[in-house]
Amino acid sequence: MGAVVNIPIPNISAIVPEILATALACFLLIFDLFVPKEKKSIVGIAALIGCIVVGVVTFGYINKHVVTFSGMFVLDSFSVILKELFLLCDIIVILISLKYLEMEGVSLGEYYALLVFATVGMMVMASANDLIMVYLGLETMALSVYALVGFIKLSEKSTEAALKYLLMGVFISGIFLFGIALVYGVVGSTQLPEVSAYIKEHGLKNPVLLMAIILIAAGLGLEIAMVPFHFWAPDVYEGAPTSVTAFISVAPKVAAIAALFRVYIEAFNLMAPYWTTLLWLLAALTMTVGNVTAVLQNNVKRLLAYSSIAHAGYMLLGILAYNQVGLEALAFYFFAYCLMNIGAFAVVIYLKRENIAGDNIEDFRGLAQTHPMLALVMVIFLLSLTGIPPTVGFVGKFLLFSAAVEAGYYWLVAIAVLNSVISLYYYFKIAKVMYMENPEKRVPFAASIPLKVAVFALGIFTVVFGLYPHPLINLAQLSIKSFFG
Amino acid sequence: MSWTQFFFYVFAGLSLLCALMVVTRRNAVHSAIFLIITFFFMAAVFVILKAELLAAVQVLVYAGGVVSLMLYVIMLVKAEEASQVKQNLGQIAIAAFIALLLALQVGSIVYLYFAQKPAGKAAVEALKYGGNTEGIGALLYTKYLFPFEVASVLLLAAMVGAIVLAKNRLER
Repeated sequence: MGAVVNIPIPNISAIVPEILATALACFLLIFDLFVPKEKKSIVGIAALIGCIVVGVVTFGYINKHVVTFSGMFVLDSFSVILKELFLLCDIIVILISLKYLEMEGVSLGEYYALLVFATVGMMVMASANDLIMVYLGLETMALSVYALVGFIKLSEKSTEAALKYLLMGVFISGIFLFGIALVYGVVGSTQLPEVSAYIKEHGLKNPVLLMAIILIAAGLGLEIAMVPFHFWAPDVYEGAPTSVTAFISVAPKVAAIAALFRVYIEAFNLMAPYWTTLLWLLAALTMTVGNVTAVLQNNVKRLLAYSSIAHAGYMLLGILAYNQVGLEALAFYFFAYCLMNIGAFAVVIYLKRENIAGDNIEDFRGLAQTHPMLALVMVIFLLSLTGIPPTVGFVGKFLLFSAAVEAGYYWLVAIAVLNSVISLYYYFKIAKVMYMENPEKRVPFAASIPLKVAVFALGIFTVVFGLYPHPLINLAQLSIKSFFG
Repeated sequence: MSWTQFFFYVFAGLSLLCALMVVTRRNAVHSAIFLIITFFFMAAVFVILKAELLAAVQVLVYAGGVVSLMLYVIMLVKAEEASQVKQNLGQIAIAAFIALLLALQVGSIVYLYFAQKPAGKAAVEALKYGGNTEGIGALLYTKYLFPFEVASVLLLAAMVGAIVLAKNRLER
């Protein structure tokens, strides 16, 4: 007895962004207690400032490569870029929530704390070098998001959405854990490099590991909203507060795709023939089901839900290509998708008025006559989501598709292009309603200044990065070093 | 096949069987009770694997804490339905069977203790730190330090989320 355990001092400086974000969330919880109920937007502004500070600190870590905490945590450019993206999502979502929450009757400052907790989870996922870390990050994010989805008081839809999301989520996380357990059973470790080393030594024809690959794809597939696991998305997107919908349609999806990329590239790189076949099928299904079902939707939030399923399918192309161009395209597309998708949801929030939810396609009727600038911005987002120049969505899709062509996925790219054509139809259904029809009644909008700033800034960036994508491309290229030396 | 192996397969098989019963019973109370039995058998498997601390945690936290809480929830939610359910009369045989299994479980523990079987790989690992409990503690503060800390953030977020949702309902 009494053996002395030497506790190695981990490199704490590598996790400063995570520590700061956790501290911010805890601070918001306590700060919230001192803020009167009518002035909860002060908590939001504090969260906003906090996120900007964390973002600046995180940016200092770019170009570093540190593996610490006994190999559990890896800090590289790819993870730093993702963390910046999550914080950017946070900042935009806080901007668009400030007034919206009051309109929905939410007077709880915990909203912002949970948003930051979700971000902490995603930051951990981005830096996870171990399947356990992926799982813990995923759960931290998911549990915060379940609560955020059910935030609207007295709304049956919101509660139903939260419960549906929770039940699906816990079921799938059980499947994900089962996959991790199988990996541990075979390899004796859950660390990604050790799994890779085991496969190198013992060969790739291992049915248990094959099973694990499928189960891991399923576990992360729920947050990605990949096709067999997409059923929750439309209901949850519709029922959740729109600001939360904007958040969950981007940040968790990006986090899960990035985690899937890292797990497949770092741990199962030698088993690529198996998982590329799997992802090929899933990507084709995800794109097609998402786009074809979106055509039938009349609720804009549901329509955007199916469109975001389709976009997940395009992003899977980046994992499939698993070359330098593919990774660069994927990182670029994350930012493009963040700008245009949150932008589209922000316009839905903009339309929210007394008694009008703003998420019905009729609410867009004649917007070009009453609010020409807002209609123009919405058209920019729609163009970008379709992938038409001169928008950031076009550059993103171009990079993704060319990476996939380079890797030899001609058929899949053909399916993807065909799907983009289908998406043109339903995106421009909204544009048609805005420009071709006359407004029914004029109810003035109640958009606040932060929301206006967010919507128009997103619109401007969508065009600017479409015409001049180099800053984003340079940023995306930094991530290559993390995987391809 | 050694006795250890024999007991392992017995307990593993029974825990699977009970887990199956958890999902097939229509009565939620029965499901919860089968879940407790499942946890007990899993604890027995942990004992065979020489992870005594985990076995104790399994019984105390899962069987003792988590499932008891679940039973309370079931009683609160379906109080009326639960009172109408008739007690199953064929219980003596089942009770005797379960008692026998528990006796086997205790027997296996006693057997393993007196047989002084050579410790498995995990136990050797644990001995480096001076024992089972110390081993787990040491691992939590060395190799698994980061997951350990992240798990605490996870629990905090879950707690805040649960309270927020409950508060929302109460303020109606």
